[in-house]
Amino acid sequence: MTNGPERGRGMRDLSKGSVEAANKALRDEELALLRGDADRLERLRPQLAADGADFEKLLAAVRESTEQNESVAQLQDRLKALGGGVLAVARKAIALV
Amino acid sequence: MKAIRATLPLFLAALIALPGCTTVPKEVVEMSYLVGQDVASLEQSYKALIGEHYKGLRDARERYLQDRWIPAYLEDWIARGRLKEIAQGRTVWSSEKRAFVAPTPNRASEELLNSILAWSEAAVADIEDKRNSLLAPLDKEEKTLLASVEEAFRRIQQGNAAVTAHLNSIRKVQEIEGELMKSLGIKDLREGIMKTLANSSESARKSLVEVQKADKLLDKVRDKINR
Repeated sequence: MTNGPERGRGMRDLSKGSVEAANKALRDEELALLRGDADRLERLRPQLAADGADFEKLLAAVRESTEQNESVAQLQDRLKALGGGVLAVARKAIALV
Repeated sequence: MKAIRATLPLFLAALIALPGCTTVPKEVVEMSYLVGQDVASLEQSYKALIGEHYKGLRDARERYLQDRWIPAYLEDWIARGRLKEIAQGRTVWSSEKRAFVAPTPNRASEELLNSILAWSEAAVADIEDKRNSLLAPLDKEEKTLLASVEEAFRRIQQGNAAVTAHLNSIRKVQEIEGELMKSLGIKDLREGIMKTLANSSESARKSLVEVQKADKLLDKVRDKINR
């Protein structure tokens, strides 16, 4: 017995005719089934307000501002950590004037 | 001296409260965090809906293939591929000649079997090609859509996380500020400043309404004089 590709050589050229015949007979039905294919992706894809570059710029600005706040918090925390001395001086300054 | 005594605590407080006087209640940070959690859940639900939608589209195409296309194809292929004649032993497929020929007398059974196999292999390959042509674009489209939805949610998550972190950083500053103010004995200063600002804003609003009323009255007087 011959193997697959060898025994069927040329037969698919013949069967292509049947594929075309089935496609032709069901053309309208298939078109109806595939209706909406062309623009479905665009209809369903989220439409974002800003493009990627603009968004990244905004994000970087917010993060930078957050880092500044963190630095301020750290500075204040360090001031507090310096403890009694600094605070006592500040308290005295308020009382003196 | 009196003026300095009055303004120094304010100056010190302002120095400590660098980011400004507005407050961020902890509920704002919590809410922002919760929104982040909900967005993650929303993303899963959205992606599941996309999956269901494309499954529905695939099912409809598979039904069309099974119920409509394959029967139409087979009807033609049985005739064109001379299946009945092969089965009756009247003809066989010759791969050398690429055509139907009369069976060789002492090899008829083997040729018949090879012809039936070749016929069915061609049918299976055609049906798979058709299935692929119907379903592959949907698979590709679903992948593209999911990728763009994931990107959109990634941006929302990133944006929300950045805002949450920012609000949290403001709160952190304010908490430390509060502790410092308490140590300096000016604990209630922030609230005092805010109340004063809020009252000033309300007074300004009322004054503006009065000014607008006066303007209207003046307009009426002007009209009467002009007549």
